[in-house]
Amino acid sequence: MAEQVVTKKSGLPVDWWAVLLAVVLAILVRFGVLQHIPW
Amino acid sequence: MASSTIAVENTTKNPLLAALGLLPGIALLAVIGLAAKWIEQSLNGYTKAHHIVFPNIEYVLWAIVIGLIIGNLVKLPAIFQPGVDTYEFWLKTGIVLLGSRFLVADIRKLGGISLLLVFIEIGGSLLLMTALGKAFGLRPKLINLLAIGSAVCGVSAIIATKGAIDADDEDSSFAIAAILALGAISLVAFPAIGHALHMSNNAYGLWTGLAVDNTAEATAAGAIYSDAAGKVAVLAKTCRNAMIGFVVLGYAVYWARKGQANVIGNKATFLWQKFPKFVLGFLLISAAVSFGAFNADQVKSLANLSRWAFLLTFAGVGLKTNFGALSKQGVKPFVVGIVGEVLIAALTLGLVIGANRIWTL
Repeated sequence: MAEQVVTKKSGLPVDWWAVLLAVVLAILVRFGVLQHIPW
Repeated sequence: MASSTIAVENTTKNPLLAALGLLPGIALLAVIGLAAKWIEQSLNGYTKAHHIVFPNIEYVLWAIVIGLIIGNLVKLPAIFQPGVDTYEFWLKTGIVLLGSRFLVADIRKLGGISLLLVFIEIGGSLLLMTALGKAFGLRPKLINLLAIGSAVCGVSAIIATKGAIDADDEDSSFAIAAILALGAISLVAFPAIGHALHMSNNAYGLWTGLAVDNTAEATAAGAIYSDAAGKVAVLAKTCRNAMIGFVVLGYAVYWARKGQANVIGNKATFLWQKFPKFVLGFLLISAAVSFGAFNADQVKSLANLSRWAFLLTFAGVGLKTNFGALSKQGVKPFVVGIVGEVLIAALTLGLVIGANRIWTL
């Protein structure tokens, strides 16, 4: 893993992808498209 | 995190193919996570039905153990790698969604205490690791990488610093291996100490978030103790992560003045580039929940989505921890790392116990 991490390129920001996915999920939950997600 | 960066970067070349290429690995993460959840529930059901006194072992630990076994005994086919590498992406998605479980008032109270302790922890860790590194005769830039990795946020901080101070790949590998190995040890050691000291969920979570370096391991070490402790561990760790830019900037300016790294242009741009953006998402979701944008059932759904994202993360932590690769990285950085981390763990434990007396966490 260490080698993969070190050879990383600083490209598209994963942080923004994570924020985007989470916000999309939140919107789907807010407007009832996703309901009663179990655990 | 870097691995998932690569995975997402590939989508810029051929988005559909790259997305399809992620599926086998993500499916593997899901299978491991679900198996872990099933083991936890089955074990609980069995011990309860037979009146056996047995501690509840959270699915988190099972997911990591199954991942470790597969990752260290089997060479994973290449088809799984891109998807498995997304585990840090799921971690960040989970953290953003976890914002739904914190009202802004919670963040102000616990986050304020965390921030105060984070400043003390970062200062103490940087001084301690630097002194230890010098005592053991490590190379100056390796000392910096170890110091920042243990003070701020593990692998991300080391990668950010490596670029900023122009450190060698070998030094970065040493530092990353030491941080990851110590993170693996913390998954067992921290919960054991927490239980031995009968720490509250908040106190234990705060300690874990302050002392465990890599975000994935800090989240896991918290969640192994309890769901509530995991939540606080993420908040404290997020406060630490938010400091990354300032500390890296300090080291970058130091090495640039010595003529051994590029001069930093606009410092505000540098800070923004290094700032972990998922923290903003976490605050955004928390603010939306605090201002009543979601009803109680929707908040529960968001919290459960966060748990599913973490489930994928924990499976990935186990799969990506390769003891063979870690053991090849040499002894000295590990010794410095272990001695330093034990001292930092003791220091932060003292801080948390002190804070608990003042604010009753």
